[in-house]
Amino acid sequence: MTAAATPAAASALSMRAFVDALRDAGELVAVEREVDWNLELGAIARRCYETGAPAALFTHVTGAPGFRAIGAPMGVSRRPGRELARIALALGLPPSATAGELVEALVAARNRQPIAPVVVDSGPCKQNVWRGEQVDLTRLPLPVLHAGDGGRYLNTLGVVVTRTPDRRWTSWAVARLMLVDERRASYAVLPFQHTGRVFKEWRSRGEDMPVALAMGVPPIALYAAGMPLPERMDESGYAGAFAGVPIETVRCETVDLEVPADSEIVVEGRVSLDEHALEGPFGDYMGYLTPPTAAPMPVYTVDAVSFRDEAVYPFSCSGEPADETHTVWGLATAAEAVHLLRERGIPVTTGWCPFAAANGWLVVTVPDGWRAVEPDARELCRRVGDHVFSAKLSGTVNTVVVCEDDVDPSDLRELVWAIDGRRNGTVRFRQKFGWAFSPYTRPDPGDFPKGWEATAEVWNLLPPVGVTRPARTRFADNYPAAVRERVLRHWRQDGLAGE
Amino acid sequence: MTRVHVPGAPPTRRERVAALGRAARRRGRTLQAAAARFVARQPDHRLERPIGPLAARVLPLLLRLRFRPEYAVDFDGVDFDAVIQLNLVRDGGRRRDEFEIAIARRRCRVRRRRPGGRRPDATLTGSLADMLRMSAAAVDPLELAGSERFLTSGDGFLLVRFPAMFGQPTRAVT
Repeated sequence: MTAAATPAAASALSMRAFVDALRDAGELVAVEREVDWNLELGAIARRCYETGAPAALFTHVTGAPGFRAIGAPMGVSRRPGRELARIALALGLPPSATAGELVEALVAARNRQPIAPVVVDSGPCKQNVWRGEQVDLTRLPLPVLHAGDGGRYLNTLGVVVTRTPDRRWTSWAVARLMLVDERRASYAVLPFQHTGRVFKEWRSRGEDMPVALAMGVPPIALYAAGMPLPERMDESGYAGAFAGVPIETVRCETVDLEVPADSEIVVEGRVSLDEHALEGPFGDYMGYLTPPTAAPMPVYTVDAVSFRDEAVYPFSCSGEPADETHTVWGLATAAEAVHLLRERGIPVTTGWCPFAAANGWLVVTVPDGWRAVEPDARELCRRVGDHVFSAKLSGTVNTVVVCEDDVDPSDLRELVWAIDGRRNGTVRFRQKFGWAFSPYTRPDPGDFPKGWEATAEVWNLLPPVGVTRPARTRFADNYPAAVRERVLRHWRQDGLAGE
Repeated sequence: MTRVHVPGAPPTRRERVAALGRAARRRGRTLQAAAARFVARQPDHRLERPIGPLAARVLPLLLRLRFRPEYAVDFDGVDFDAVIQLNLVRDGGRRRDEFEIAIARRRCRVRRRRPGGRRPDATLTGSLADMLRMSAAAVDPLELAGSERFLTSGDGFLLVRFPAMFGQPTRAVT
């Protein structure tokens, strides 16, 4: 563990500061006309992701006066050289930060001592409170995001807070909740996720599980919640380690839980042990409506809602990459993999989950001296696979690519070039709980555990013994410095620079 | 050892045998799918009439005989200690039979539900006709739950295991 960091920039610690930072960076547009929650919000956000347009702040959503909504807050920008600007701002980094710098910022926090949150008396999220009969979730700007979704979604980009009955583990997670009626939602609690583990403990006591849903949280809280940390490690402590200061939390009104004080909207209630309602279908991160049918899930009954004035409701219209399911979850997964592998003695330069692979690929690069740790490339790949596929982060990852660090794993063109030219074999693994979201894999959930298994692979892009990497012929590697300098000096006047 | 196929080369003896096996399996699946499609087309009353009155009597025995203890483990591999309440509805909802399936230490006991029994960990309510369709792989159990033809409550993971635990198909073959 290393010493605590200096406090992170404000945009990582407050949704409002993040929105301001996006605006200042030219990465936010306010949409002031009336926009319908039924598909229109989702369609605009989806097009923002697909075109690299700025995030959209909706100030007038049909039927939700007093609330705003933000779509594509952590999407990828179309501006060359600043594609990751919104993600960088969410982590309090300069908008020009590189993929490697984003990963290292998250890894550095993982290496520091967790900083427990501090409970404060009150916070902005307490400015307005609905209790009991006052609660009406349909007054929030909850969208139907995709044609074919099962209903309006209460949560796609908020943090679900749960705690074990013995109070020893407080879990932050990002999970789907679909509106059932004014006070109820169906909650996709899955047994292999941390919330499912917490729910199991409440079930064994025969009590409903208290749940708080915090939306519009400090962006770093979202990354912490999306990070596949080990079981029983509090995500709030990791968020504090990243921030360099404790995350300020406030007590909920009706449940024994705390939420970030700076949240925009907080929903409190209980998840029933008995009652089910249908959840889904939903256009999730793989880019399809999968599974194509709804499934019965536990019912979440809401007892209180508190929110800031002019609260900002964040949502992610997930689908084909890249949206927040990739830029938050995928990035956090890559950072956790880098931390884990380094901790286990594997030399790792960096890691990246290419957005285009929808969280299915993890690319790990190793420095030139990797043979000092493991002379056999195949054995090194096997060790990488053993660590990755036995950890929680293997939930979505089904392919690991191991290559030398002259390749930038965040440059898809360069990565595909390397995969084709350097692939030197594959190590196969059987994953116990493959994340069954591909429409072509036909998982069989009823046949547990066999029907939940999936094949996973490590692609070996490392040279065999006796082979060294040939010199590359690209501009940066091949040409003498004097030639490169002359080319660059004349680039603009030769008319090659473009706009 | 990885087998390498030579483009244009005639199939080896081993490949020919494997192809025959694949063809036989394909024929078996075709027959099963035809039977499933036949069952899927039948209305409720036609499926229920021949065995409806018998079902309530023989179901406990059938479930016990079909019980597969290797499936009676929870997500962590620990033996289930749970009670499932199974409510079978027939005759368009006019008749209802309630059963209690107790699973503990990889054993199963099935009997009619009595008042004051142990609180069930999960409850499954569905028509006898849909149960028969599921048994014939004419309909996917998850589709029955997702369309609320099977009504569920309680521990969802326990119910997901129900078909496999009692030797039923876990998905449709139609």
